[in-house]
Amino acid sequence: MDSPATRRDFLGLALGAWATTAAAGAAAAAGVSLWPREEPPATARVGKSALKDGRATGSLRGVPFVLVAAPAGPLALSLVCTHARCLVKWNEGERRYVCPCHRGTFDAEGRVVSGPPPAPLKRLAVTDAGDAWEVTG
Amino acid sequence: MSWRGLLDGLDVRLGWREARARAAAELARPQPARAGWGVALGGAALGVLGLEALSGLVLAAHYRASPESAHASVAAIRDTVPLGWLWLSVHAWGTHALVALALLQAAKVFISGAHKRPRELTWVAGALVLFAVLGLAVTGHLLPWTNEAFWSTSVRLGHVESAPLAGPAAARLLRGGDDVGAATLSRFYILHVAVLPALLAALLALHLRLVRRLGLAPGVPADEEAARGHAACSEGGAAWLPQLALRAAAGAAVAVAALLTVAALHPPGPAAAAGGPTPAGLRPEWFFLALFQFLKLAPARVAGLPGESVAQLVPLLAVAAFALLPFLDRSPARRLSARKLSLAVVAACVFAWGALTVLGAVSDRELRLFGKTRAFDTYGRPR
Repeated sequence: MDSPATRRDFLGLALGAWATTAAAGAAAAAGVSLWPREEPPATARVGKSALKDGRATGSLRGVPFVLVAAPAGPLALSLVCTHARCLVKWNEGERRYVCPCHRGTFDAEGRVVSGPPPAPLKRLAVTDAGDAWEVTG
Repeated sequence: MSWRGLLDGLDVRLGWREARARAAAELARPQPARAGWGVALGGAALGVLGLEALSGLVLAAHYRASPESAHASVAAIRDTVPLGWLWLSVHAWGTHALVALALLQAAKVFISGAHKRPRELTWVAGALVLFAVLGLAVTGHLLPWTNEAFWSTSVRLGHVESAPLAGPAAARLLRGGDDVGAATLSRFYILHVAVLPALLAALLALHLRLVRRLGLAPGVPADEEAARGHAACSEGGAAWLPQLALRAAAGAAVAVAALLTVAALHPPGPAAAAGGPTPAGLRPEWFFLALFQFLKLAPARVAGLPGESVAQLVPLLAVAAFALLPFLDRSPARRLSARKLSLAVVAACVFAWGALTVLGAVSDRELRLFGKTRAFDTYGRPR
């Protein structure tokens, strides 16, 4: 630079730097408040007598799951499709969970059989509580 | 104080006479002779937008954004508020009209080469206006809290979650949690009535300011316009005031009349409230059908990555290319016969979009076509 920085230039720069920092700080504070909190794990009880043909459905925080009493032990699967989050439905004839939105299919253990889902159905932890199963997720 | 004195006093403080004289001079400039009734399209879009704003204001006064009351408040608007059914119908149908008019406007601008130098930013601002309208369509769709809207939104945000890089964070921020619920409704409401309308207004003001400042594009190539000046390319043409503005107003009148007619003849009926299972045959609005159908083609995994995240690069790049078209389509030519390559590329894209839209519309459906019942599979192939 040929001309030395003047006091006016410096103050202008300082004002710009202050305004930028203040705006970034305000945006960060708003972001912190807008970012959703992690929800604590919830537990749902499924009475063992509620099982029909070895299956029962329940919901955790409003999101449905299925509990299946398999010979190897109880299995709880979230019914939310891992592709676009529609609810899958059990089709007894095909023995598949079928998603009504994009035809993703999962087998009885929740593994992807066909269609666009990128991951198996989410497994939820099951514990034995005497006359009921406790599903946590 | 006299009326005259009041105006003089306001002029001293606001300087409105100078601002009005500058605007009047710009609006009195002749526009290129080829500017005929094309301006009616923009006028129609503005007319529909005005009706959307007014109907939105009326609806917002009666609407309550919570999962417990949203569905009932919309039912009350439909069944008990005087003319409520009509405002509701106009507001819903207006979305389709607005998107259709914006797409027609884009087609008109591309065909006439009006997006080229020096009007690149006019196009970009216009494209961003269209994106804001699509954002308003998506956020507004959830507000009646119907079962269909709940699951549509769940799917849409599921797709946002699969978007590369910022997808998961954006989906979580929009949803306000892990699943669609009360937080999502609040967030969509504030986006729909405050954030997106403000954004739309700012972008539209920029778009219209640029249209007024740069004038309508003449038929001559962009380099010739730059060399000779806009005025020399517009000799003998009509000016915005009064001729072109009247044509735009006529476009607005026709569009508003058509929208009111359709809205009055096809008002929305009752729909089930959210809380049921995912309905079968969930399908987005016509303007998202191509995207819906394209995403079905994504395999589960591509090169070890989630297939949909990779597949989404195609529509994301297409959207970016649309918004930045003037910087990709850089030849100065405006006559279509001198723009064969860009015409071929755009025509291929429009054909692909149209074909995917048709496949999306017929997929997983049984339709009676030409006297025969035909069933189509999920990819839109006849079974």
